[in-house]
Amino acid sequence: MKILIISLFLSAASFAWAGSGHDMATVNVNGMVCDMCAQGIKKQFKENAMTEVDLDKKTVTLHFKDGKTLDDQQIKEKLKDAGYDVTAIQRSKMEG
Amino acid sequence: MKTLLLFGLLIFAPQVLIAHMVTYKDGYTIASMAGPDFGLFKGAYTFHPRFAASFEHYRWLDTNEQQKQRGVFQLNSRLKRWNAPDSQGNIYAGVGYGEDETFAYQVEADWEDRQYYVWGSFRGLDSDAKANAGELGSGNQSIKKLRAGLAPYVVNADALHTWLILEYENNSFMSDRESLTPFIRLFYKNFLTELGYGFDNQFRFNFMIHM
Repeated sequence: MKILIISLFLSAASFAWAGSGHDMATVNVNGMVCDMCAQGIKKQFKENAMTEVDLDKKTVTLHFKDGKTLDDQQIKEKLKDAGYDVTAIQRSKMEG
Repeated sequence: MKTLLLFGLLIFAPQVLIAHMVTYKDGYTIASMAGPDFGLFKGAYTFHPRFAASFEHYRWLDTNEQQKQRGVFQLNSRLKRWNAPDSQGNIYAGVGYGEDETFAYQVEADWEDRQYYVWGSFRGLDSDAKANAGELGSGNQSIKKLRAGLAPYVVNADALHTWLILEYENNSFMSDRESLTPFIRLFYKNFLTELGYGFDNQFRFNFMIHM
């Protein structure tokens, strides 16, 4: 019975997540050359998004938390605060 | 754990810095450089994207083998940064004031990409104005450092980064001692450490944390 209840709960949770999706922004950034850069950038966005830094592609991918999106200017300012220059921003939506 | 870490930092009682003088807004840095007869410990807070305040503690053995130390508060600025797709260059400067009317000043420049790295720093303490300036030797002391580094492999973020670095130092705290030291640098996320063994047969240990 317990297993059945847990299974139902997990199914319901996964349907809820799949239905919601979340906003993403992929940002091309100049000047990111080391892991320290990546950590500084992640700190700038920690309140608004889950952040992935790819030094090979020179991109920062932001997975925005619910109700925490940032406009392009805010993203540029936060990356400037971290010491980097934005060259392009692409928006998308990740379906759960 | 934090206590153990701080105790370790104090035991190695630090030397001059590998950390950028200004990091990112609201970033904290704890860094140290430790050698047997000279050390520097630094705590810094970057309160603006281009400015950081730091406390720097010097310790060294004078020519009479007496332990000396100075603490100074310093304001640091990143004067210029060049961001390119695959590289970054910086110029920094700092001025400070501390114990026994000691003036501190520093300029630093670096350039790095993911495989190569060059860095130069000039750091001085001037206590001529103080009657006991003789405690600092001539009253003006400086440390000049030049570094070149090579990463034997290139990895993405959140992996262990390794660098091989050669450092030249001229240290007037130690009677203009010149030294050449190969270091291995390892850093992972916010933690960086360097271990070197100089041609003067001295171990050197550097450590830095960004928060």
